[in-house]
Amino acid sequence: MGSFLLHLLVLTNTYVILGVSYNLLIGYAGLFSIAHAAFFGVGAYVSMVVVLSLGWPYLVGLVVAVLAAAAVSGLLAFPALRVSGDYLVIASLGFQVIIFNVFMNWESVTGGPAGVSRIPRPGFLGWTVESPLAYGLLSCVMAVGAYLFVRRIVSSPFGRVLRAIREDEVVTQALGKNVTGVKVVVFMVSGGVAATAGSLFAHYTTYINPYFFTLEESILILSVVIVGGAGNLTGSVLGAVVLTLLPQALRLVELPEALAANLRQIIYAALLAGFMFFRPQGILAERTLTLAGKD
Amino acid sequence: MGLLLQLLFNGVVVGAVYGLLAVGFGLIFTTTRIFHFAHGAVYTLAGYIVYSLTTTLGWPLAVAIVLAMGICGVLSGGIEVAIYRPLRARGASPLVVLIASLSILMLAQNLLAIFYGNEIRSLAGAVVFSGFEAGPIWVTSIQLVTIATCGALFGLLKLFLRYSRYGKIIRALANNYEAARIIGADPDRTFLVTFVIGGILVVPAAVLVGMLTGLKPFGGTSAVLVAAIAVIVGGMGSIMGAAPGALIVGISENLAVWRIATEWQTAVAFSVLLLFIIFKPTGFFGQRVRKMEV
Amino acid sequence: MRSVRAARRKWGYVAAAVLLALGVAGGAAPAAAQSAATPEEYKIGFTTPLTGTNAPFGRAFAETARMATDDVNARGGVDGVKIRLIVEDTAADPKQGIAAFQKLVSVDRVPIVSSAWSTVIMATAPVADREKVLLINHGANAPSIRGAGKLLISFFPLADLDIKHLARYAVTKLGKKRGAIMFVNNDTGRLNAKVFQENFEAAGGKIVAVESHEADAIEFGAQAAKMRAAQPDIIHIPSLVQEAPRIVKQFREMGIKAQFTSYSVAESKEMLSVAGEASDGLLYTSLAPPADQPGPKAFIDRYKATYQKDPVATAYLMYVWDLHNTILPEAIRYAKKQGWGYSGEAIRRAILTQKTYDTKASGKTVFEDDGTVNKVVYLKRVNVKEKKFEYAATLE
Repeated sequence: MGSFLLHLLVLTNTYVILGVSYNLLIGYAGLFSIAHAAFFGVGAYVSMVVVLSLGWPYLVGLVVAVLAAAAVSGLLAFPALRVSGDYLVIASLGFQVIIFNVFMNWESVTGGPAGVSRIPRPGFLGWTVESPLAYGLLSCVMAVGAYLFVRRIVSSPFGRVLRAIREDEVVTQALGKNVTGVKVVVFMVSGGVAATAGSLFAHYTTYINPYFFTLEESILILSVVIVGGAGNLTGSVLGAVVLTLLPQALRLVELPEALAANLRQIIYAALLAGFMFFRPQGILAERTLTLAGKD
Repeated sequence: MGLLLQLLFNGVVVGAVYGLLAVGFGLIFTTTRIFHFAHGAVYTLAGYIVYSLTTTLGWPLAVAIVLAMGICGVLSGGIEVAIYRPLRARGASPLVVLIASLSILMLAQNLLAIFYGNEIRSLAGAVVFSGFEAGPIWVTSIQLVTIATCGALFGLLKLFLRYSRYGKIIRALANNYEAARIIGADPDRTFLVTFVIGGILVVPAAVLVGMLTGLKPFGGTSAVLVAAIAVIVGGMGSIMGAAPGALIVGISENLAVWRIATEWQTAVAFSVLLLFIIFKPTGFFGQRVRKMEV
Repeated sequence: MRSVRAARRKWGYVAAAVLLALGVAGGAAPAAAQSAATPEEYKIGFTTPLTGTNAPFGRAFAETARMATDDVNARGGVDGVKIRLIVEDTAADPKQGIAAFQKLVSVDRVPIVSSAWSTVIMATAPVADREKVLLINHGANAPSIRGAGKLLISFFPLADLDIKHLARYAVTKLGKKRGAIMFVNNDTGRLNAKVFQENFEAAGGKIVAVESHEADAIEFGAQAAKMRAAQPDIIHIPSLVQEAPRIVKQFREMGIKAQFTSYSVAESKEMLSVAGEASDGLLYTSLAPPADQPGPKAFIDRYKATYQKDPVATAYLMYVWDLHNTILPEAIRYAKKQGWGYSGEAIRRAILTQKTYDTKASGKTVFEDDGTVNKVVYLKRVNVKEKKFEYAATLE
């Protein structure tokens, strides 16, 4: 039982990292992209390539993964610069699909649909993170680190500019802020942090394939942030906990086997819809005054 | 050369069907500015309704289609009345509406999966469509039916937009939202009309796809995605522009495989889209994109 | 501000309560009385797609395993100890497969997990090694499964065996010179295509076109157009149960006249109900003896009597039946006799020591030292007029 709970802990921490990094983008900056699973995946695959194929240490893999995801994520900023709102949604959807296709088809590097197995566990100066307990601890360290890092950004002047862009981009531009630069940076940071989740995840499960990083996954991450509360980082932590434990709890309950997966999705959807109607700001509302509901 | 023409022809057929979806989606989006993800849900449901009516109840296809159009029109309008309108009344942001629409899509797809199972259902049964050679290309009967039907429907829609009362209001709203509101166009009623029309248009698309390939519960997601791309390529703000936009998507999807391996097909199509957004966000027929739109 | 803090605390309690409840529920999960001598019951885990597009197959697999286990228990179990089969859903997805496996191992504490679907097996194998659980493949055929795990046994023959024979047969016995392949873009499809291509060319043929499609795809117009342009005289279609009939149908509708071949997945009721006359004459490899032989016939009659319906993908089901009705019980009995106890490693050792099993439905089984099997390959043909799948040839 213990290793099952630790398994849940690692999973939850992964989604905490994904949640806070995604919240930065859609909650604080108001940039509605739905491609986060793609950067999660880039982090996972790049780390895998660096550590497994090139044989370099885990930390190097982590750094390279973060840089790679930040670069790719920065690319998404460019369509965002040209237009906003629904265009960005579509552009990010397109991004998500393209990157998924790259994972699927660039077989020589990613192993294609079969995926890659035997990814080594992380090693730090001779000591390997093997046991479930050790990995649980590692995941907590990384999750806390990600949380503090994003929190730092959000309460800094940069964070204020993000919120200003979210509220009224034109005015922010008129006030002399470099909106373009800020947007590129926030995309890069968001993607980079998501990559750490990818690295954590890939070396934990030791097997990845493209189907871990689909649009459905992006929507799950969206749910984590929305349910927890966009614009509230603690909310993302809560969202991660709820949305990781929920399907596992369902697994322990005897649902009719044939319907389990669909019922789970229905519960997610109902949860999302319910929140949109009754509490669009999520469980934990944003701490400053502006609500998410403004037209 | 024969292959190229064949791919071009296939692209036109596929594009025609995409067009039905795109025009409905574009109609709704241009008029109401709502990103109606749930359009995919109505589309998927349409196919299954016709399937149940013809296969389980044994009714003739024509009757099933007409009935399905009625049901889907009502359903589509119902989503506007029961979901979007109350959200608008609460001052919900477009993001909130979008997520609500997405959840409806997820709900509907999973309910359909539970009810009908995940297996692919065929509307044509074991019928293998006949075809013939027309010069270097091979044409099947169902492909001809598809082109004819879609063409006719586009024509009808264009007439509606040009000459009917609601058509004029819709075009006014599409052209200049604020101005149209000022001169008294009733948004709520007009919105409802666009949703109903969108719901009706998905039915022939679903039937054609059901015959050409098959029905599956989760097909709605990619259908909406393609519709959205077609609308962007055609140009937001131009309702009928979504039709040539869809044709372009269909053709480029098929032509892409002429020289590129088929597995990269989707990636190519989406890359084209992204290039469009970056370099020509107004699409082919749209007007200037107002950046403050959201 | 105060209300937000209060709200936060409230939800914090909710989260804590959920975690606590989970801990209690998990702790209360039945812990098996695993004595070194004999447990109260032999638990065997079984993961299969109960949801998703592969569900019809997956559920049939589960039904067969249940039928096999009930049969063993009705005869007194293994030396008086009953077998308990615990089934979990993978949706044919590796991530869910790992979760299902993890649950069986951590919560139900099974030492053996029987599973299928190449991607699931590949994902689960390293986990099985870590948890010291015996993973047995009952239906996946990707060649990469060989050696994918130290505690992995593949009861199902891997693709390099039957497809190799098929490709050579196509050239030498059917006289086909221009071959083409349309594979599903996943592990099974890719490797299957590779094996076919290598052997077709080695036998003297030429591959003129290779196309692929995504799993769950329903539209194959682009590939059909390219196939037609390449003009092959035989097309090998390693695809999946839903897609293969549609590929066959759409290719024929596109005016393609080539001979179609595939592997065991082609034997499905969808092939007849969806592809109809387009599938007439399709040849495919089968890893189980023809249905009219005594072993298979006994199984099919049994299945029909128990579930009041015809079995689908019968060849696969016969493997599941043999595994859970013959091989596992005998291996458990052997391990007990040798004093090795009931654990993953013990049962694996038993299987590889006994090696030969008189498995009735799928034909005699001989295990190799590397954990894979050697079986005879059969070639079958689709006969639309009589609505059946008939025997065509035996390939050595």
